[in-house]
Amino acid sequence: MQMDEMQTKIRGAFAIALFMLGIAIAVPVLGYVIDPAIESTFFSIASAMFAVGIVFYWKMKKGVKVVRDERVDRVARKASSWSWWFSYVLIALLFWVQYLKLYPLTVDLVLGIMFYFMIATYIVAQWFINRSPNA
Amino acid sequence: MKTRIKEFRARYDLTQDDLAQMVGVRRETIVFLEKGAYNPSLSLAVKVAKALKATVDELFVFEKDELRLEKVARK
Repeated sequence: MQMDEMQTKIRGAFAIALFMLGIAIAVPVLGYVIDPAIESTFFSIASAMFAVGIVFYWKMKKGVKVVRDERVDRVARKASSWSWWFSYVLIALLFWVQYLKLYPLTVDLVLGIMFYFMIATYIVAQWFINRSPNA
Repeated sequence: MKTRIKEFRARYDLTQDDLAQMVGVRRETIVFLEKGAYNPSLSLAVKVAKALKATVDELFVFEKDELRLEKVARK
């Protein structure tokens, strides 16, 4: 078995396990309801892992032998860097919004914004860098 | 940067997929390399050159201005 194929299978199994754990946690056990915040966190992690697992499995089925190479790694590194920088700017903006009392920010709101903003900026940066020459 | 990968690949009747498998990268990487739209690492450049029985110099052609060789030579 090739290393990539084995890695994909392990990742897929882990993704399914995590997804099932997310579902199990979401279901109240013996009438005891777990904190919804924990449920949603597990669901988010499980969904992300599941999505990654499906994409990798689909690529393997499609006949893509090598999933990662130096270009993919380089694009990922640059996208992470861009995402970090945009997130840093957003945190600075949120600080001033709070400091000048322009909008009533809560911890939940800021965490929610950052959670989705970091994922979104990473995906957009990855897409943009991937299509630019000499990524 | 211009590359002669396509020319050498045709010489040995290799597809982009074949070459990608030989050097252990994705086919897209070979596509970008052929277009001259990706600067590969030294190890990948050497691997591609070996796979195509050529030298790195033969495969990757830089314009004079791109490398600024005169400056390097002077120092």
